Amino acid sequence: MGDIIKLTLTLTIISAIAGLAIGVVNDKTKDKIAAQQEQARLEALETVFPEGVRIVEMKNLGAGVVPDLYWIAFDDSADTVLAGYAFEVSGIGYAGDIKFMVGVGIDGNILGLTVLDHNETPGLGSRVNEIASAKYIWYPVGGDDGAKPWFKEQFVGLSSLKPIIIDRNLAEWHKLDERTQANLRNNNAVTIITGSTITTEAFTRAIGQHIAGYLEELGGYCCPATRKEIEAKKAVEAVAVETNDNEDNDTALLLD
Amino acid sequence: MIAKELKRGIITENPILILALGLCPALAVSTSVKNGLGMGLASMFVLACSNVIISIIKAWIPEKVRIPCYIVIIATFVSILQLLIKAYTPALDSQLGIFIPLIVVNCMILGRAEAYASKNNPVHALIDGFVMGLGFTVALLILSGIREFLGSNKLLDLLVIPGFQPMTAFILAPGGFFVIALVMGVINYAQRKKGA
Amino acid sequence: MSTENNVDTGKPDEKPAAIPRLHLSSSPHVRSSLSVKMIMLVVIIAMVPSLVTSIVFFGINAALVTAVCIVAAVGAEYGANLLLKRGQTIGDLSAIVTGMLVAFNLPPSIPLWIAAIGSVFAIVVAKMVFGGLGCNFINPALAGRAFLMASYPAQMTSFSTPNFGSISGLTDAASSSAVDAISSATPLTAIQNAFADGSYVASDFATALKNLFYGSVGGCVGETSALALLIGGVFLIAIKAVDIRIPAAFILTTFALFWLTNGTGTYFTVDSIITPTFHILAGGLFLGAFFMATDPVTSPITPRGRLIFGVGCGALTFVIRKYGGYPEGVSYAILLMNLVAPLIERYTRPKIYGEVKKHG
Repeated sequence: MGDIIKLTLTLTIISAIAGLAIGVVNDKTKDKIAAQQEQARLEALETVFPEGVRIVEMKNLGAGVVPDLYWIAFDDSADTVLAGYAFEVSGIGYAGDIKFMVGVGIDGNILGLTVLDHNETPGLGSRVNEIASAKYIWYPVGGDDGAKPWFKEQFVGLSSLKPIIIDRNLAEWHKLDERTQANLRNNNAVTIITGSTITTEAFTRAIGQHIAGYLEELGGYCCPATRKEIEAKKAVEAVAVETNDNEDNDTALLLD
Repeated sequence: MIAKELKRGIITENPILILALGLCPALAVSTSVKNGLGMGLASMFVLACSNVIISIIKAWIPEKVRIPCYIVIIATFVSILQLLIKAYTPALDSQLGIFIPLIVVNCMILGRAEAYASKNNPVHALIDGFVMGLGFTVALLILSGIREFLGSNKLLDLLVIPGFQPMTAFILAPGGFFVIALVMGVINYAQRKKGA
Repeated sequence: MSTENNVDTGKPDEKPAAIPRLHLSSSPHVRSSLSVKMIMLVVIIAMVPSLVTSIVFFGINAALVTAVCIVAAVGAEYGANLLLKRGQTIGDLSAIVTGMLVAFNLPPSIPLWIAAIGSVFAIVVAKMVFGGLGCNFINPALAGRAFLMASYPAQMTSFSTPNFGSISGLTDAASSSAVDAISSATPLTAIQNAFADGSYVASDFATALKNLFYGSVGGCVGETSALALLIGGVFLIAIKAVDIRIPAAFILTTFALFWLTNGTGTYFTVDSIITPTFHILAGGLFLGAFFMATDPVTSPITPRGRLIFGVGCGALTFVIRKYGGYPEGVSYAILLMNLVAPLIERYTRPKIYGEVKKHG
């Protein structure tokens, strides 16, 4: 009996000290980690939209399919109001959820894609973030050669309103020539990461399932509108409400 | 003495290639040299720390619950390591992903705790943890060097031979087994020749 | 204990008699007039019709791929024997057979260096490393093919339609006999796509069956002409180089399973057998059933075991083709059954005369 007490006590003490140690480290790093994630999100936003837009964070307070947090980009130059939206989408990957951010234009065309969090296998699914560098080991020149992560690059320009096809027979996107890449874009298709079909499907399925619904719900902004047009439309609506009241009375009289 | 220990950890008692400990993470992570290096150093940190702590409190750990105790200590260090990596090097976190928590079940760490740390003084345990971790890292570098070169024509994410179309099988699971088998075979052959 | 090979005859002044060097081994002792070399030779002869039709349909590429594979295989075996300090075994022609089988599993348009790599892998890793002929645990040619599928998936799945004839409704490339071999899907990929998008019509494939049988369809070098493969297979069975059980069980099981799930709702009409017939003529099933599943080293040796092996191969092919992600199931089905073959052998051992089962 005393034996069991001793065993239990030892294990408890060790666990308690361990828990304390982890708690202390967690406390010290909590803020830094949150800051990192916020930083990652900001960087992601900058990647999914083209240059020179102003990004505004929107909170969706109503019900509906649109997520609680999403972003609108305004292009203040040339008088165009809306450049597009960004949503955080989650797809079921090979080993858990893949959280990524996708930026879409008002017409549903994908402007950019960034992966926020994933648990995919290093070397296979984690190649979503791979940058196909063309630098050789014999003379690695300093600085980056402007190469972009090719897996995400292949989504740019595809329509999120139509299903995105996966072409399993072609090589990875960064190995294809320009004509084949253009071909794929015209067919709304992407190619897989070798050995990671499920990871690729996570993206196409998540986009296909959610984006069209989001855009439809935010529908008031579906068509390109300049600030002037929107204000003009609002003015017309205000007048219509007034005249409607009058009109109703007229029709009512007519019907009688 | 240090030289002898280094030789022991890296060559004569290399955890992966001789003792065959920690093969699962070795196979999984050795797809690129960067990953291999990251994983090796992370494991070395955990191994050294846990060895020291276990060696210090070895007198108070009862025989019957020693394995759970070791695991709790190892898991603590892995959790601390993960928090530190998430906070200060998030790039490594997204590279290694799920393999950092899996360091807990790396047989090498539990194996050295049981076989060495629980029977030696803290200084020796620290040195052992350090050289074993170093041996683990060296073996990982060899394996991932071969696999990354044959499987994606790269080393450290830089292309090596222009025009060489790599054999993707080496990045996938079968390739891992082939490479580790061949390397172990070569080492066995060399050992036998030396011993014979 | 004398360490010399001499026997003490008991007579002190007589020289000890030398014991002849006898090689001792336990039973079974089988004497046969069929040597390894002869068996390999008849297999090569059986594969010739297929090779010929392949050259006819695919042109010089088929011949080049085959030649390169054979040379690479023989060279690899020669080199491996040198490196591992074993006697040379290339004289038993098994390397040539492996080389040909590897070539038969590759598309004719594959770059030659890839074909060579596959061949070398098949010989060195799947055969020599384990001890040479008779010691491999999986079929070397299929191991080579699996390695290439994992390494160069794009090149391994780009096929060409042959020089003349096309399958109406199955290929999406414009067919013209003047144009040399156009890239298009194989019949199996086409049928899988048709199933996927709902455009599958049984009667479309009736015309296709004729082409499949004679060989004017896209596919790998050795797998397109079912007729040529059938001729070769029947020849091997007739001269008893190959047991009929494995191919028969394999082909009949695949046919039966596809017939039971043929999707037309009927069972005894012509319509109902179109899909099963299609499946046994397409995708190298004949190649696998006659030439690769029957490899004596990697298939069970007991008669009942062979039947089980054949049925297993057929069932796995059905499952992989119907429910799996690959259009081609034969190679993986055979590889999986190779792994189980020793187990099958153990449990189908015929009872030795007089053997009494242990109780409990």
